[in-house]
Amino acid sequence: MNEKTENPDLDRRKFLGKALTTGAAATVASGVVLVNVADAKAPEAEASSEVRWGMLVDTAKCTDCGDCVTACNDEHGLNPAEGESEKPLTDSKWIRMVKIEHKSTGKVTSLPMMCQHCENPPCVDVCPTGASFKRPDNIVLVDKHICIGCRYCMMACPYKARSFVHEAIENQVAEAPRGKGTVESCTMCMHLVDDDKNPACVDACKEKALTFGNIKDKASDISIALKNSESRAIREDLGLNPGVRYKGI
Amino acid sequence: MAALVVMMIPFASIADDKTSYIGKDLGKQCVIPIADGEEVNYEMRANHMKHLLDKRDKTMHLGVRTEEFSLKGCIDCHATVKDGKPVKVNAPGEFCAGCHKAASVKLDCFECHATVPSKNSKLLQEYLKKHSADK
Repeated sequence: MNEKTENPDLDRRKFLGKALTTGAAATVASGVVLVNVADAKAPEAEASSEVRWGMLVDTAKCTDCGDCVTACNDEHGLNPAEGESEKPLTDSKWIRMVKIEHKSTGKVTSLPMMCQHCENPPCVDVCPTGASFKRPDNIVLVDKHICIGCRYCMMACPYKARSFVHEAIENQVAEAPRGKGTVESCTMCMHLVDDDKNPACVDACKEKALTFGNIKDKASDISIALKNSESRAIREDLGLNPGVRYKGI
Repeated sequence: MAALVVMMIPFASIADDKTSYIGKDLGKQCVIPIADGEEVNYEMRANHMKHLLDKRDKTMHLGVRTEEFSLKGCIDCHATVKDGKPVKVNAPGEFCAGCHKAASVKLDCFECHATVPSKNSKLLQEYLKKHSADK
């Protein structure tokens, strides 16, 4: 499994296969586009490396209300929002609000922080079992069937995006299996994304501070927004090329 | 060997022969239908994990989300409903636990996976609608 997915873009066999199919598609009828990645994904279709899911966070619009955090917790059956929890130090947090302060000006910005779905994810590099992996559409996930709970990925992640499940869980949500002894993090709501919906946090944001879409599709809302405004990745210096970018920091 | 053991379990000890689960009640058929002339779905009884594992990797790593052989799909169909609420499939005597207990095979899917149909399950909604007049 890992050979196939570890580095989807550089897999030689897949590349050759794709080159062939693309060629075939082009020769069926000139001027007719047979494959359109912007179309709805059929349930039987595989995630494609023609797509890269990304998110743009406009910190100027973010009011620090925490609706995105609540929506994420509800969607995945995570622990109650901060403050109500009995074990706030060890509860899983797939998305959390952080405040950053500019060292010299003192300007404080709050923003939602979650798995940044890097193109070169350090969590995948360090995983000894191949449980940490990148889907062809660049959603970074943990295959909990393979995860041994070593937590190397948690140490490697510069965004502290991953959580470890310390205790047995009951009454999981059908869409988000979770269990003791495994690491978990934001899945970009892949079950919703595969169904052509937005992630829960994006839909929950009243201020429309979150934009979600395919950043490889130049006509998508997110690509247009990225092209027309200044945005930054957090810890850009690490060269991880995250799929989540921030405006106004 | 495991397959042989499973096949040798007497029919009477199998939960699905006694209880009426959602799919049975609605007259749905399994993704692998029972073979002609047989009373029990031997293929699923012996090889359900093989099918589930194949599908699991496709879903997890490639985002293939057909209903066929998805654990969620199995549970949507095979859970029973009591007092308008679905019963956990790993509760004693229920579809999964009944057979696994009889075959003495550990059942650990449900340390992580949900044990009742999703709140969005169409089958559950159909079942509840059909039986809403019963009370």
